[in-house]
Amino acid sequence: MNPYFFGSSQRPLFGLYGPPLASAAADAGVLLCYPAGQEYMRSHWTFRQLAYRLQRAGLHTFRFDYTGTGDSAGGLEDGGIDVWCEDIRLAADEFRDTSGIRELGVVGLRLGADLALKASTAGIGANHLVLWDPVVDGNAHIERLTAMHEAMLRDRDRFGSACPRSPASGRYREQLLGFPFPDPLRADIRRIDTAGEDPAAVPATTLVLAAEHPGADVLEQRLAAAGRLRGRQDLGSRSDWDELSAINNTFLAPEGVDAVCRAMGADR
Amino acid sequence: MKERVVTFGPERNLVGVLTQPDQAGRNLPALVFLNAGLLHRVGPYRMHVDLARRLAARGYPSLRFDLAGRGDSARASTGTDDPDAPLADIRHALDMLEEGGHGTHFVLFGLCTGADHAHRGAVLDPRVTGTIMLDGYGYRTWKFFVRRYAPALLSPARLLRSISSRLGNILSHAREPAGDGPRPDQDEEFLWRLPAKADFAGDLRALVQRETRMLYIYTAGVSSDYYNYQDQFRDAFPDIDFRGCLQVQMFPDADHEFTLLEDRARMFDTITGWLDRNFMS
Repeated sequence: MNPYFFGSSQRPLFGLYGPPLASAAADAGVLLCYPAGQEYMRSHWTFRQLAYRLQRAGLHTFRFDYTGTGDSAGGLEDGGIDVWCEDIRLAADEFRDTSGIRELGVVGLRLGADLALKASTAGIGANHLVLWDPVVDGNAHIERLTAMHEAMLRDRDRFGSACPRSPASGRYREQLLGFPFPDPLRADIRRIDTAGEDPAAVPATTLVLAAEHPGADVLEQRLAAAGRLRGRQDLGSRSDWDELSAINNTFLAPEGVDAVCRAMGADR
Repeated sequence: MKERVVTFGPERNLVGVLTQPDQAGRNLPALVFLNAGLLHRVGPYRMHVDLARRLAARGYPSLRFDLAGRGDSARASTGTDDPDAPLADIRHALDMLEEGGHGTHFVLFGLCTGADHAHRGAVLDPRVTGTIMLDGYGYRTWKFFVRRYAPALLSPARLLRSISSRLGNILSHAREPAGDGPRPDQDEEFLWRLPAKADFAGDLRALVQRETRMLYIYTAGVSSDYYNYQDQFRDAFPDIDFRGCLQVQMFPDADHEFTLLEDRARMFDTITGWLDRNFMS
């Protein structure tokens, strides 16, 4: 593994390049796009496992933190959909320079899937895209996070006798589940309409979906109609993204990792 | 403030980010942030990153890194099943910082199992001159039990709710399926192990002897389990003269992970104030 900062010196991004760990290395690689907020925190371990599996299958991998997340520069107030899509473009360029790959696959989880789709549509030269539990409706996503945050303030298991906690005011008003979520960022995310992206500009795409994934059917139909749907892999279980009791739990998803590896031809 | 990635350890398998203040050379301690359970080095809700950058603005360098097998650090070829392996990783971190000219004395920061490692690391290494423990070790006293159970005993309605809640917990655990394999939170490595009180008292005496400064922070997240009033720490060890080395601060309305920004800001204020009072002079 090779961790380092890349991008501009004013706004460095943390990246982690993983070389192939198989004797027959491919000239293909997979760029991994994390979710944001508490979903990023939950899924870091699974991304490590996924990267390792892909490398064992002979693929290069690159994962990185968006502006204002993880070890990268700035705070969430510096982030936003356009900034993060630009980060993906920078990461794809950096990945190609570092590894020499000719074929680029991109995997995104949750909001990372939306960003990967948008960045790919804008043109980062991706050959294959895997959207894992994408946030199909940004407005509904923010509404769910808000409802979870409000429920958390009333959670006696969390705050004991201090429960219920009052919603913060002033400089701490704009927060959701442990992270500052400035109004402009919320507005950005609310505008996400994954099924509304121009499917003609999307690379060949595989959907990896937990059971009962709202809105995924419309996305699937649009991709299929444009001839961009490479496949759909349904996971047997429901996800716990919307469950308050899970916000501090590591997102362990061996079935999802298997599905992504299959989609990337890394299951052999 | 500058940040750079470092890899270190005998096998260079340990990954961290070093945060350096613009003005170095004030002989302030370097902080070392340890993993909280399985979470990687950025900490719960990116707490370690935010605090590292805030402290750098005050002149404190810091390192946040992943113990072997966690976050982005690979397991060492010798394996990490040894419960003392994290202590070797901490020693490698301090060696790297010292050899790189980033400090000669250090403050270890840990939440939950990170506090466990911070305490054990401090006991073993005299270069550690301070520890910051969030929901670290705590020992129950009779006052703890009075505060814990008296309200229920004095109120029949609360008593009934308490019994009902406990019965519900017992039944729900009994109904839990066996599952299809161990989860990380069931891994013994991540379970809380409270040392024997006499052993911990011995450690505290040794740390006070070395004039190691200790900040213990407790939250509502542990108030029903093991710590529920400000002076409990001193009450648990009435025979120890802490000689100004100990500060205990309760955050009775904050949760275990300091999820709310306003709680985290108050906790950061407590930590920066404590650091400045103890190390800035």
